[in-house]
This record gives sequence, C-alpha cells and structure tokens, in this order.
Amino acid sequence: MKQIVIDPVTRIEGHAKISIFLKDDGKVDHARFHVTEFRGFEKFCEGRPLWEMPGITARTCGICPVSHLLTSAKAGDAILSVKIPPTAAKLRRLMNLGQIIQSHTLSFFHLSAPDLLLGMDSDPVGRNVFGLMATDSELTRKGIRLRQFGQEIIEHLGGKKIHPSWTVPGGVREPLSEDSLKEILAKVPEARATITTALELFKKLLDDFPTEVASFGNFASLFMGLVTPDGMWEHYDGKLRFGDSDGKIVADQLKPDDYQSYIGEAVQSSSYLKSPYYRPYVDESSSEGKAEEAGIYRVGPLARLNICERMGTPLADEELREFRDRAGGIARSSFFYHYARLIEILASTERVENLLNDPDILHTRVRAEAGINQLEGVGVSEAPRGTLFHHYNVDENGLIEKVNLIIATGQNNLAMNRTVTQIAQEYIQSPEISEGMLNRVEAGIRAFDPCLSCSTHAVGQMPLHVQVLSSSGDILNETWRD
Amino acid sequence: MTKPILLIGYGNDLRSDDGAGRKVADSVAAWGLSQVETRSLHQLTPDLAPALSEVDLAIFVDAGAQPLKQVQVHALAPEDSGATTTHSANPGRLLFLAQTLYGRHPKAYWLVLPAENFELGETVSALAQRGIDEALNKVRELIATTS
Repeated sequence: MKQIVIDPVTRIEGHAKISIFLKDDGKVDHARFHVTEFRGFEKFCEGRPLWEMPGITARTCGICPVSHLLTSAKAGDAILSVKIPPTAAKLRRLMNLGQIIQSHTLSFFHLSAPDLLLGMDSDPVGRNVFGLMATDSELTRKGIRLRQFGQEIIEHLGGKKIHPSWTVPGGVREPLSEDSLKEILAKVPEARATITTALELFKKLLDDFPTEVASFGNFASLFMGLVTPDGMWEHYDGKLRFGDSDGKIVADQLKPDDYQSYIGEAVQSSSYLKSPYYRPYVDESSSEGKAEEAGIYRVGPLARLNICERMGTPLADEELREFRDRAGGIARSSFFYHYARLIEILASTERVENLLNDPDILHTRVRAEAGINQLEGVGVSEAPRGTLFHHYNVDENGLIEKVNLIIATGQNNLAMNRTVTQIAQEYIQSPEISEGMLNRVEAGIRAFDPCLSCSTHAVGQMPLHVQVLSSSGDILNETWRD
Repeated sequence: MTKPILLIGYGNDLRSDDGAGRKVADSVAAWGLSQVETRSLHQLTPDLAPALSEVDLAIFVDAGAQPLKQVQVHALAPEDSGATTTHSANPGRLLFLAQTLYGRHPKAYWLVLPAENFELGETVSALAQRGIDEALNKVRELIATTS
C-alpha cells in the first residue's frame, strides 16, 4: 500500500495533515485527517477560578471566541444554579447571532468562495480573497461589510470584536444601549441584501459542481444539533436531536447534561483530534479498530438544517424549502455545508432584527448573582461550526478541577475522514498529485470549516507538504507548496 | 470622525511572547491619544482593509518568529503578489487590499518585536518585555512625526 500525505492543510484554522493510502494498484484505499498540534487547553484551565473561564476559553481562537464565551458561561450558570434574567438570555442570543454571521461570512466569502468562483483548478497563488478581489471586487467589499456587521454586533455588546469578556456565569456584564440598538438595526437591511445576493450566486454556482456535490462527503450519517421543544432551528438553548439521512429522528430532546450517555469519544494514535461518536450505535466492547465509525455523526450548519423542522423566520424558511428540494430531502453531501451556512446567515439577520425589536431587549437587569451551588456543570450551545460542550468540575471555592471540551470540529472528525477518502477515490488514480486534486481534498475538509485552533489550539498556518509513501513507509514522491 | 493613526497589535495573548504586540496596543490605548485608534487582535484578517483605507498612518506590531535582539522597524508598501493565506494576511497584503478595494492605503510601518517563548502562558519573557518598552518609544516617535 502507498500513502500520500498532505501536510498541513491550508486555509483552515490551525495545523493538519492528510494522509491518503493507496492500494498496490494505485487506487485509493482510505484516507485520514490528522491534527498534529497538541492543544493542552483543558490542562491549562485547571486551578483557575470559574469566573475566569469564559474569558480564558474564548482565547482558544480568534475566529469563534463568542462560542466558547457563551458555552462557558452556561456551564457557569449550571454551577451557580441560576436562571439568568430573560434580557441577559436575549442579549447572549444576539451576540451568538453576530458570531454566526461573522464566522460564516469569513468561511464563505474569504475561504471557500475563491474555490467556487475562481475554480478548483486555478492557480493556488491567486485562489484566495485577493484573487477573488481581482475577479469580483464588489462581492469582496460586500463580504467584508457583512463580516463587519457581525463583528459590530459583538463589539456593541462586548466592548470589543475579539474575546469580549462580557458574558459571565449568571448573565452578562452590561445591558445593550439604545444607541447601539439603533446602529445595529440600521445596518440590517444592507446585511440582508448582501446575504440574499450571495445565496442567489451560490445557487447558480451549485449547478457547476455536480462532481463535487456527488463526491464531497456524500454519504449517509447521523446529524446532531440543538432544537427547540417543537423541533425548530436553535443556536443557544434547547435540547439535542439526532436525525439520520432518511429524515428519521433517532433521538430527541436529549439533555445536554447527559451527553456522556450518548456521546463517546474515541482517540486515534495519529491525531490529537478526538473522534466523538453516537454511543447507542457503537459496540464499545469490540476490540476491532474503527468500531466508532458506526456512530458517525455530523454537526454544524448542514446538520442543523437537516434535523430541524423549520428555521422559524419567513425568509430562511423559504430558503430551507428550496434547500431540501435541491438536496432531494435530507442533504447528504458535505458540499451543502456552504449552502446551509448562507441560509443560517440569512436566518441570523432576521433573528437579529426580531431581537432588537423585542421590548425587553433594553432592560437593565442582566445578571443573577450567586455563589458555588453545584460542583459540576455542563454548558452547550451551537457554535458556527457545530455543537459545543463545556463540562467543568470545581471545588467548593469555584476553582476548576477538571475540564472537558467537546468541539464541533472534533465531532466532524469521522465525517471529515470519510469525506477525504471519498474525494481521494474520485480524483486520485496514481501517486501523481495534481494541484486541482490537492485543492479538492482540502476543499472537502474546508466545507466543514474546521477550526483546529479550537479543537487543538494550533496557532497560525504553514505551507502545504505532500508526501507519497509506500506501504512500508518509504517516500515515493514529495512536494511542498508555499 | 476617523482618527488619522491606526495601531494594530496582534498575536495570541495566551501564548506568552506571542502576545507582545497586543501588549503594545493595550499600552498605547491607555495613553488616550485623541489622534490614535488602537486594535488588539488575535490575527490580521481582510476586514481590516476598510479601516486602513481611512487613516494616514498605520502601525502594525507583532512578535517576531525569528530570534531578534531588538525591535525591527520596517516601512511597508502594498504587496500585490505572493501566496497568501486568508485567515492571516500579512500587513503588506492588507495595504494592497485597502488600495485595490477602497482606492487608498496609508503610510505604514511594521514593528517586529523580539520573542523567544511561545508556550501557553499570559506573561512575557524579559527579552519580550524589553522589546515592548523599546517598541513603545518607537511608536511615540512615529506618532510624533505624523502629528
């Protein structure tokens, strides 16, 4: 057996490596997505006061700090045993919607649009936001403005765009001001217009990528995410639902506190990224490797749209209907993550507007004060990339004794492996590696918008390193991409 | 009204010396200068381009990945070529983005600080602290020449 290694993957957050194992006849046997950077964040938190946790864990990443901030605060709410004031819950929701808008916009306009608009086979030197700018500067400007809109929501609430320490156990530190409300509300129409344009553009492009739709992680799996009690799309509260690729609800209204009863975490020796799985589908007594693959599930925008009954806002509901028409029901292809992401941005603009028009939103009672009332707490919310769990154990003084974080990117690990295998099987016929093939393998991973900074706390990015190895480990072919 | 000078300190402030640029940004913010806006960021992203197009002077402050003994000051120009990763554009590419999308870019400098410890932690090494102090003096000089 021969092996192709892509190390690291570009245009995702953090460091990763992809190994593609070839059979002796040159055809792809299977592929693996490895994360080679060790996080250590869970150990780093031990001994710190509970109240510092939102601020600390938010620094895991510069792209989705708000997700950690909110989820950490919710774990803190559980430990304080408080029900936070209604306005605080609405303000947290508002901030999470700002986060979804800015993160999804970064993913689509800055990371994935170059592949879609400039072509998978175009020169990688120009296949980025700068190349996109040369091709469609108006779209680039609109993307920048849309991301700013999401970031400004965060800044108005938290005082700064990145790592605001505004959300705390018990609620939030400051209420929303009337001036901020007016400023955000005034920008909703432009944001709505931009995302509508992007959706129309994507739907036209979708017809140009039939092979990618068919081969970018197009398989049956479970999907998991939060839903409301009546099955509506949810991003901050609610309970968990697992659905399958045929549209059947496998489990519903699962309590986040009980996550360990239905989510197991497998460890691969070749990666620091854990592989969570749906426990009821896995024979955990099996000594065979890969047993966890029976419990494969996907999280994030695709999963959220697949499991919900409706989005809960008029424009997004209309788009959800068309999404399902185009997908033929439940969307199995991971290529549809892009599409789902755009619909979630649209839904978020509608919900931002609704929240800002809510008469409670300017109330000033936004924090419940309490001491340590429980020694353990679980927080969960929907990060842009999928469901995020924070599980803390504390001592009587509120000092952290143990932390477990289950990150969206980790939960998609098994699915990313399967996606890379499927793409490699479609595009690799020998150890020779074309630029277009390399980028398709990466693009398959990018469809999940993995945040390896979160899942491993990797820092920065590196060039692409590709190796072709024989079954005995000998390097047959090797190339670098700066 | 937009302030004429923008200082951007960037890095990971939970990776010890990597956060040196952000400590400079925080210190300059504490000076409370009316003509200077500061940003303390995890990384540079393309959405900084609009703000860059509106100022007269931009100062980027970062920790150096290569060992340095003192602060290096580089005058920047827009970079219109070369491979770029989109999550972490370099300052020159951001100037190019500002010029191309918004028709204008500022005079700009890049201060690279000495750094040696990038492990998890919130404090900086003595070397990085000396670099921060030196950088603050250089920032004062750059601001004075523009004001």
